[in-house]
Amino acid sequence: MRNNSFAAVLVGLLFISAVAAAVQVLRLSFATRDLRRMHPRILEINAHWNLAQALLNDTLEYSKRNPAIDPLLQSLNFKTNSVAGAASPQSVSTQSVSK
Amino acid sequence: MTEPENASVSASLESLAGDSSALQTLQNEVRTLRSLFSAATMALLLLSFGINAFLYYQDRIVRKELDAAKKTAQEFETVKRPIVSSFITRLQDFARSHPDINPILDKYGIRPAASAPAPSAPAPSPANNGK
Repeated sequence: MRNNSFAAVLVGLLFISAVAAAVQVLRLSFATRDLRRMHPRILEINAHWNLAQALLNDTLEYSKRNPAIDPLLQSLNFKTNSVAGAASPQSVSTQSVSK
Repeated sequence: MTEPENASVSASLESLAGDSSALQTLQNEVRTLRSLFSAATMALLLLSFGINAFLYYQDRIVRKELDAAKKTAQEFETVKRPIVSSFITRLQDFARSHPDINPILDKYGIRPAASAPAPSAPAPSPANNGK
């Protein structure tokens, strides 16, 4: 009799564990599907951001030749002032990326 | 007792002893089967716990990645995109008075289309309005 109840408890635990595993599999598959759906969007965002970063770098290079663009860059906080900006444009761009 | 009676008693005793040993064997086999069943169930239970732990760990990793991706997308839409759009708009405005920046805008395909014909376009429109 005691053996029977022990086996019943084991089978019950096994059943509960199997149900929990099934729930976990469902949750994981839904999360994976969502992540897969998000992936192209993230790639697109990264591509956009890299383009914007390259544009900013080119504009900072341009600002060395034509400081008339400095007020525009300063208004967007891409360049703190003409001296600092001319000295380290890369640091400004790196800050923008890390945001 | 007569001789045939003695023979039948000994035969029945032998049969009883045989039944008892068969019962004993059967009980042993049932006990062994129960032990095997318990051991197999416990092994399955352990395996199931391992699978559950692995799935939980994977789920945590995937959800963390998903949250990061959602956060990145949201941050881009709410913070970065307006900054980039504003930057491009201002660059396009700047290009109207400083055409030497146009090669840079051309490189990224953001040169304003109306920048070249803009000076000549406003002239005929008042004439058209006057009819």
